[in-house]
Amino acid sequence: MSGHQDLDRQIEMLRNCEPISESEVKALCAKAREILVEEGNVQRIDSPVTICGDIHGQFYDLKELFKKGGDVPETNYLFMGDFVDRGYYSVETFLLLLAYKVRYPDRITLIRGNHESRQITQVYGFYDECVRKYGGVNVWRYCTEIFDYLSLAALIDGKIFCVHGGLSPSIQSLDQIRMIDRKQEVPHDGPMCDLLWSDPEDTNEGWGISPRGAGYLFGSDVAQQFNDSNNISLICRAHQLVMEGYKWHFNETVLTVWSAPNYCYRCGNVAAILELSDSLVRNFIIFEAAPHDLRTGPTKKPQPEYFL
Amino acid sequence: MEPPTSPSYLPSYHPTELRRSTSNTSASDTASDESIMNTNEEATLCKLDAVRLGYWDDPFLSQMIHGTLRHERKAPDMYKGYYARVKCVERLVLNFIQTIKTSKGVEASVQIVNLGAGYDTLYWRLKSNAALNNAVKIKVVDLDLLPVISKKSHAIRTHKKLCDLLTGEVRDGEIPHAELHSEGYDLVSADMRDTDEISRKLVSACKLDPNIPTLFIAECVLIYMSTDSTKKLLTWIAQTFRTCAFINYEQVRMNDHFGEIMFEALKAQGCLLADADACETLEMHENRFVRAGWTRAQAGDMNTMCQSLPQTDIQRVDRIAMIDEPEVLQQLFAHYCIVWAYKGADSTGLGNIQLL
Repeated sequence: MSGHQDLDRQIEMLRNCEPISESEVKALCAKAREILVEEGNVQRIDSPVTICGDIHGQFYDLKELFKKGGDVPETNYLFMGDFVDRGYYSVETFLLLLAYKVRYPDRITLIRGNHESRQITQVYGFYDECVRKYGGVNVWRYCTEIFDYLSLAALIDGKIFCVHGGLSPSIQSLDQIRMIDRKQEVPHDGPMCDLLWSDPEDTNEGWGISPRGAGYLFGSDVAQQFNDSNNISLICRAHQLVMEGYKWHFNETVLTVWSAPNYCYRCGNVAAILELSDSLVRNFIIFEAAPHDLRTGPTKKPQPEYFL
Repeated sequence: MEPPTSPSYLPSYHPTELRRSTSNTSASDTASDESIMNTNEEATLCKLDAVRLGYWDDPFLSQMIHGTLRHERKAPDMYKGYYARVKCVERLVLNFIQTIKTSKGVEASVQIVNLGAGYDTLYWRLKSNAALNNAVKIKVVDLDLLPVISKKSHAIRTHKKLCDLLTGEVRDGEIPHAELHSEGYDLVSADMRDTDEISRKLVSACKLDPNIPTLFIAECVLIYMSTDSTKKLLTWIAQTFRTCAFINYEQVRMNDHFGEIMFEALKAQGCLLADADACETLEMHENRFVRAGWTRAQAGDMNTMCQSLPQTDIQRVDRIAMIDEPEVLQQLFAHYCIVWAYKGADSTGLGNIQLL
C-alpha cells in the first residue's frame, strides 16, 4: 500500500529526528484523528504492555527508551502523556509517537497529559519550537487539535487504571470518566482537568489543595476507595519527577512512572518504564539519558538553563 | 497542607559518577573570560524578558542592551528565579540604606559597590526613588571587566533616560569612553580576581570613603574566582571599610548530582565554576565571610529566601505563568542562595538586619 510506504518513510525520517513537512503533519493528524475518535475516554488495553511516563520532547532519550523496551510494533506500548514541552525535540517526539499510532494503532496507546494543551504549550516551549521549525503556527495548531482527541485514561486487562495525573473528587467510577466529553482544551478545573493534574500525597488522607494550581492531592484512603469500587488493583500514573524513575505510593496501590531521564537536561534523575507480562508480572526497566555522542541535529549538546 | 512529596532534589541515586576537574583553570583565561562575560548578556536578556512579561518593574534595563523580546520564551522557572533574585537583593539593599538612615539621621550617607555588575540597573532604580534620595546620600560604583564596562558606558551616554539621572559633573575615568565618574555614580573597570586593582579603583579613582557605611554586592561572581582571590578580596573589604555589608548571590549544594551536572554543563560552555568546592553548603558560604574577618554571615537558599518576599507578590508572579512542577523549581532554587554578611555593626544597627 502506498499509504504505508509514505508513512514508513515519515517514520524513518522522524526516527532520525528530522521533522516531516507541514503538509505531511496535516495529513498525519487527519489520519490520527480518525483513529483516536474511535477510542474511549478510558481506552481498554490487553497485556502484555509496556507503560511509559513523561517524555517532554527529550527525543534522544525516547530512542534510548525504545532501545531498552523494544521497538514498535514488537513491543506494545502505553504512553501516559506529556510528550511535549521542556525538551528540545517536542515536534519530532510527538510526531513520531503519532506516526506509530497511525501505522500500528493496536500496538501503541497515547493518553493525554496536562502538557497536551494549548495554554501550557505556549508557556513551556512546544509552541515556540513549532514556530521555529516550521516558520508558522500551523503545525502547533494541527497537533493541539489532535491533543483534544487523545484518551483520558487506559485500563489494562480491567485491572490497572492508567492516567497521567490522578483522581478527581468529582469522579468515583470509571463510568463517570466515560461520560466526559473529552474533545476540548483541558479545562481549568473539573474532572477532566483533575485526571491530568492531580498527584497522590503520601502524608495526608482525603483531598488536598495542589501546589500546582490545578487538580488535587489525593490520599491513600481516596485511592483505596477508588480501587475497591472499580475492582482495580493498581493506579498507574506519571506527571511527577521521581529521581529513581518510579515510585510506589500507598502500599503499592498507586505507582508513579517517569520516563524522562535527566529531566530538563539538568535534574540528574534516572528514568523508568514498566513492562507488564501477559499475566501482569511487573518488570521495571531503568535507563539513563542518551550519551551526548548519540545526539545529532541542531543542538548537539543539551544546554540546560541556569541562573548566570 | 504539606508539600506533596519528600524533597526530590536530594537525589538518592547517582547513575553516573561525575568527577569535578578544575585542572584546566590555567587554560586560556581569555576564552573563559569571554564566556563568563557572555553570561551577563544572557542573564540580562532573560531579565529583560521577565520585565516585559511583568514579573517586576525596571524601566532602565531595556536601555542597557539591544534585544527585543526573544521569540523563544524561557520556562517560567527561569523568570521566577530572576524575579526572586532581583527582589531579594533589592530588599536587602533597601534594608541596608534604611538602617543606616535610621542610625545616622540627616547626615546619612551610603556607598554601594556592585562587583561584576554587568548591566545591572541598581543605581537608576535607587536614583529614581525621590523619597529615598532626599533622605540618604547614595553613591553607587559598578565594577566589571573592561569590555562590559565599555558597552555599559556607551549605553549610559547614549540613552537620555540613563544619562539624565547622573548628577554633578560627568567625566571620563582613566580609560576614556569606558570608565566614567559622577557625583553619585561611578563605572570603572577591574578584574574581580585582582584585589590590588579593585583597591586602587575604589579608593583612588572613585574616592570611596572608608568611614562611610559601604555595601558590596556580587551575583554569580565569586564562584568563577579562585578560593585565594575571593579570600583576599573579602579580607581587604573587611579591613578597609569600617562599616560594611555584603550581599552574595551564588550557587550552593554544588557537591550533589545536580551540582555536578551544572558544573559540567557550564564548563562545556566555557564557564568554569572554579570555586565550586567553596559552594557546597550554606555553612561554607557563611564561613567564607567569617574567616575573612566579617562579624557575621547568614545564608539562605532561594526556596527559603522566597519566603522573605511579600507573598501577595509571589502569588501575582505565579499568575503570570503557572509553575506546573513545583518540585523541579524547588530543586533549582535549592542550588542558589543569598548570603548576607556585615562587619563593624555596633552603632549602625546592621546587626539587626535579618536575612529572612
